[in-house]
Amino acid sequence: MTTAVLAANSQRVRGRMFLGVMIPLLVILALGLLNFVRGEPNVNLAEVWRAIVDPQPVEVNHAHFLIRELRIPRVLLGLLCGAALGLVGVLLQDSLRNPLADPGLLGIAQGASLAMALFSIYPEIMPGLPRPLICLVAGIVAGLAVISFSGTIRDPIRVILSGAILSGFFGVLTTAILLLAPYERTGGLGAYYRFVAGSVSAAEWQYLHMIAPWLIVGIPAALLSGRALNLLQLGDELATGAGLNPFRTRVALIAISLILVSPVIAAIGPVAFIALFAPHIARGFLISSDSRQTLIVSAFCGAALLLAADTVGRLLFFPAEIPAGIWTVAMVGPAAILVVGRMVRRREA
Amino acid sequence: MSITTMPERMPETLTAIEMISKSERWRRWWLAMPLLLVLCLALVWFSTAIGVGSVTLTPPQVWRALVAPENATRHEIVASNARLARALMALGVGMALGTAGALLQALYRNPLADPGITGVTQGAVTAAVAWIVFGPVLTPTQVSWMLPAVSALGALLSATLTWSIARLGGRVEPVRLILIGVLVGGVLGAVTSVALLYAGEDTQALITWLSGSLASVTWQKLRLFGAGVLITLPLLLMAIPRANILQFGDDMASGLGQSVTPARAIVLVAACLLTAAAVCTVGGIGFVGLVAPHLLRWFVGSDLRRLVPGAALGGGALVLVADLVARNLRPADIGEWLNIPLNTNAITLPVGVYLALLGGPFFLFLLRRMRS
Repeated sequence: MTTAVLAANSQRVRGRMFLGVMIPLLVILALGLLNFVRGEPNVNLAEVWRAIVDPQPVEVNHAHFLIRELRIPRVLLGLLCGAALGLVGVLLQDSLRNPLADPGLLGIAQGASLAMALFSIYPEIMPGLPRPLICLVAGIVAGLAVISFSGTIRDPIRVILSGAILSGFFGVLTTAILLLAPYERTGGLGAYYRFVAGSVSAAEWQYLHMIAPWLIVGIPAALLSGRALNLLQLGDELATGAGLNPFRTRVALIAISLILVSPVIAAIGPVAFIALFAPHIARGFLISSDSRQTLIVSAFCGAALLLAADTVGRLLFFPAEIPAGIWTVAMVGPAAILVVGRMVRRREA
Repeated sequence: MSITTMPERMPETLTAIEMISKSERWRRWWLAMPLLLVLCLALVWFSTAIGVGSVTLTPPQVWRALVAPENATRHEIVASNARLARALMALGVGMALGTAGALLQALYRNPLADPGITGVTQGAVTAAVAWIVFGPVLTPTQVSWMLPAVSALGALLSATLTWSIARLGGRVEPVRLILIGVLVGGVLGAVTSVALLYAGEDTQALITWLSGSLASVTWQKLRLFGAGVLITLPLLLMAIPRANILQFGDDMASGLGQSVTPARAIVLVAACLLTAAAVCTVGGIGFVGLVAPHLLRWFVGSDLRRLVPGAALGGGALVLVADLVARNLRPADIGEWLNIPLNTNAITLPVGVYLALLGGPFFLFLLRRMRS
């Protein structure tokens, strides 16, 4: 009897998991194809297929060049960064047991982006340093400042307020650097969007090469940390009872999320709300709160969200392009507002 | 019977009242001292701001240029006039934002609230930018009259939106209001960025304005700002006692006979209007509303009848100092000294940058204090 119920239940759990992976995957496929096909100029699917399978005529054919050198890297970069952000969201939220934890809301993303702006406009200050490393160091410094001063990163409300104030602080400083730097180094508004809002539009293969080693380390590490996250969700005492050192585990998990988020900020800037919201969508798909499942589904949801934001930004007002970082806020923001409202109500209850 | 016995008791009672009132009077003087100090500070900074600049003027020179222009040299008059307008504007903006911050901190019962993070500033900024970029082409006079109205509307709309979303779940709780305000501010920030895309050649000026700049102050803007503040003044006077009671919490406030929701609305609207008046003249200036009420609360306590004037003067002094730095510090010189290539057009940085540099570390310090 019980085994039958359990079996039926686990089947349901697996069914929802399947749904949670398939729906974002379908969205990704549809949007990916749309991105390959539409643009200036529009090309047909046969041309796209030929561009993918046939490496030869890049120099000869304009459309091939566009697809291979611009559209494919852009879609891939969006997907990888989105997936990484989705994982980071689960890692931070489940390990800190704070449903609003997000690198943007902790002030880490804007701090790292400030360093990015400084070092990519003035590379001569520290020549030869890889950009993700700069973001990592800056992110660690900003995060340590918040933690050492606030003493808490678990109270959602204080986190969100401090994060908002710190993001404003770093944002103003970034703007100051952009105002001071000579125009030929910043390129005007494009730089403002890259470093303040986040944008995928500068995508090239070279960015993918830059983020690849970080993600190759970070994504498997994140996917393997599901068990630890599950134990931490139970509370520190139970986690200790199960043979886990909560403090060390938490530090390790935060380190993994920094490894994942640094290359993302280096490549596309402080894109907001994806890490916050992808885990919530994932939990909406799933009926269990098993972090091992949430991680996988959230990665797919994050990838789909960022690709959707970039697609809308690129194609909706066609010749004009609106950076993905703005669309993530505009699309996900209202939903995030509802999540917060619900969370606060639960807190009061 | 009792009436006849009363006179015997009366003198004693009177002296007791007298004693209380005497100590109360001393207490009031004592509490007024910090206010006087802040006033002096603001005045000192104000006169410094008028005297210091590319041409240094002594106070008598300034006085002569303003009172008897026929005896003054031409550059004295020009410099004094421009600096006076700018210093008055800095003082006024700081006062408006300091007051708004004090009101909002009382309203939300949260020391981290200020117009910047609760979405009020962002509402005004978004409306103003959208109006400048997408609005009809108007003459400069029309623009100067319409912009304050539009940004006041934006601030009120953002506050109304926050309010109605917070009300979806039942009672309007401060915690929910503040969190939703933060997120509404974020979404409005995205709208501003979209508007910037279409700004064309105004972009650089708008980005400067977004972080708050006093560089384009004129007497006309100052007059408009003054008019806006004057219109808000009755509302502000209504808001102070109400916010004072709201500080004690909803139950206590209704126990004291204050109906909570209308009081909250009045306080919020007053804060919105003051913020909008400041924002539409100098842009998205931040941190004043956070820092000024805090600093003054350590000295005058949290009774808003003293805190509001204190925070206003403190905010004014703060913006004056920051603008003094912004006006006289030339990043180009530092860049040359450090051998960093800089934009030759950027002669000075907007005042908002220096306020952030002051306010950011202060905020971290505040977090540390709150922890203990």
